[in-house]
Amino acid sequence: MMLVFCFQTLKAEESDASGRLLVSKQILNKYIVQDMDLIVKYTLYNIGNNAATKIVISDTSFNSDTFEHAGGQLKATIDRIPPGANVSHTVVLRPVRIGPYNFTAAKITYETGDESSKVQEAVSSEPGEGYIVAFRDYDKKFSPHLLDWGAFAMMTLPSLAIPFLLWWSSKSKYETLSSKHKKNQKD
Amino acid sequence: MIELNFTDFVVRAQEDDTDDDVDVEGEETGVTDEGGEEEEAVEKPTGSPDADTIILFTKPAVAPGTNLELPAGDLVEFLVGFRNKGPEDFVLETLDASFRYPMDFNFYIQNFSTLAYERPVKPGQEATLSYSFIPAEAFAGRPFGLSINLRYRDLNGRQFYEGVYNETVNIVEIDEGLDGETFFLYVLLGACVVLLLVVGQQFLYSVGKKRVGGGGGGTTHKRHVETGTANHNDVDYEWLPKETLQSLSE
Amino acid sequence: MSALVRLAVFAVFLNFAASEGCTKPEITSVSYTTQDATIVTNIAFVSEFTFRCSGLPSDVPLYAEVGGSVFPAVHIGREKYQVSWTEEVGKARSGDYKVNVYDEEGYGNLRKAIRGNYEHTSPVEPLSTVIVNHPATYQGPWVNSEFMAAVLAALVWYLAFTAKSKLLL
Repeated sequence: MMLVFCFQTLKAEESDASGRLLVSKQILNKYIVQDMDLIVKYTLYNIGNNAATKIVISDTSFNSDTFEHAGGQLKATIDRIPPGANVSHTVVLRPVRIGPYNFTAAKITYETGDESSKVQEAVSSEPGEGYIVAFRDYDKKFSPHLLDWGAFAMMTLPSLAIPFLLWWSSKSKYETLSSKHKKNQKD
Repeated sequence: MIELNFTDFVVRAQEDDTDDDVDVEGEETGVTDEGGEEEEAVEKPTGSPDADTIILFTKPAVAPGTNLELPAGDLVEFLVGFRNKGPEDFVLETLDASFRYPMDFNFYIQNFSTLAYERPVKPGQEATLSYSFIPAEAFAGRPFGLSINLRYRDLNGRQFYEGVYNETVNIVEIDEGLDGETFFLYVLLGACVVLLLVVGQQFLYSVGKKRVGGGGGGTTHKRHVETGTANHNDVDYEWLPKETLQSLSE
Repeated sequence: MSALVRLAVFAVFLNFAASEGCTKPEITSVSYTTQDATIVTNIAFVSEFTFRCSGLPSDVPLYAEVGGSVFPAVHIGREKYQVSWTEEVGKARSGDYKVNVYDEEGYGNLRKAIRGNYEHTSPVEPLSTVIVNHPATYQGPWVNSEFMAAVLAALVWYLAFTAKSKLLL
């Protein structure tokens, strides 16, 4: 209902049809870890009543000395987004430095498709402040600790194995003796 | 001076009330008390005429024209678009959302945190803000008034507090059958119970056997006829020390 | 029914026209997918490719179709395009993903085919196809190492206990 109302007001305010984009920039990570993937997803929603054209996304908020590229480009052009449609663009980065990082907005320019054909400037939503964790710290907390458990097993092994071996040796000794004895009896 | 500006603005806001959200609120909720609305207007100034705000729910996706239904206990995300149509900069300050009593929007039921953005928007520019919240699970199956408000200021320090969304929404329960996690939890619980039963049975069995065995002449031993040491084949030498055995066999 | 047939014929005809324009597309692609899903909420699939076709003007708008959803390919440079999408960690299957690339005409036909009866229309031939291979998603160890250790300890204890109780019988 509200959306319709908004559309109506928009229509009333700007008599001609024009495209309007809402741009969300999301980071699809639970943790941001050094040398591991950081997924950035831009989603462009055209909520106007005309197609938005010549959309240019350019994100300069990622420092080149803090982030490495893994896949996707931070500057991209979309030819056309029809009204009511949405388009997403995904970029994968790898942080190389640790510490807090403020993830700020991407810049977008587009043509609204109305008569003036002016270039509309827009900024996306901001994911906000995040902390890039060192891989070592992440590993300490979340790795399976196989080595540690292995060491633990090795340490507990003597206290288990020594009594067992003692028992086993005496047991086998008596078993051979008794079997020998039985054999002797049969013969 | 600021005071004067403020009242000036309020008057203006009341004048062009017709094309604002307040109207929608009035229609939807049936709040017709004139005095109350006036008070509210003084309390919260509405938006600037140079600003154009719009809201879009991205999760769950809603088709325009349908009533908004939000899943209880699940993340709801929306975007607020802001377009500066005036000649001056605006600074977007905060965005807050709250559930209100649907009959009276002055009555708060659940408040969500107010997010501070502090984002400047130059003339002619657009900005998008994102906000997400989780409706409490206890609210499932009831309608609530959802009120989303944007606070921003212009360079003169004038503050605006605009209702971006003021509608009654339905909180619905999500019935997601049996998901994998809970299923395996139940399987694990079942396995634990079975394991406990097996262990318990084993324990009881072994205890019972011991008692029967130690009871002096158990049932299994009864059918043996006592022959003394006449029959050497039946004698179990295992319990004897090695030395004794050696001396015996010699 | 006849309308449907006509639509299909129409689509085929248009498709012919499209393929006449571009006969030998040159396409080279590099793709990237997230394989370690321990710290992310979604798996990202990114394919960057260069596309050139003698019958089409350069930097023509292209569209991509993956698993039934159609979206525009994004320009990232001269004759360079990017197709990217994300999928929830639990829903992302491993293996090859076929990205069908269409030009404006093919895209229109595809939209028509999707809008119409999906089963009765002939598949619209893509200009080219890019394969995005997603080997597997690592979602952390299968069982907790702590749990595994506890199970092992319980096993050792059980063995010892049964051995002991057997001795004492």
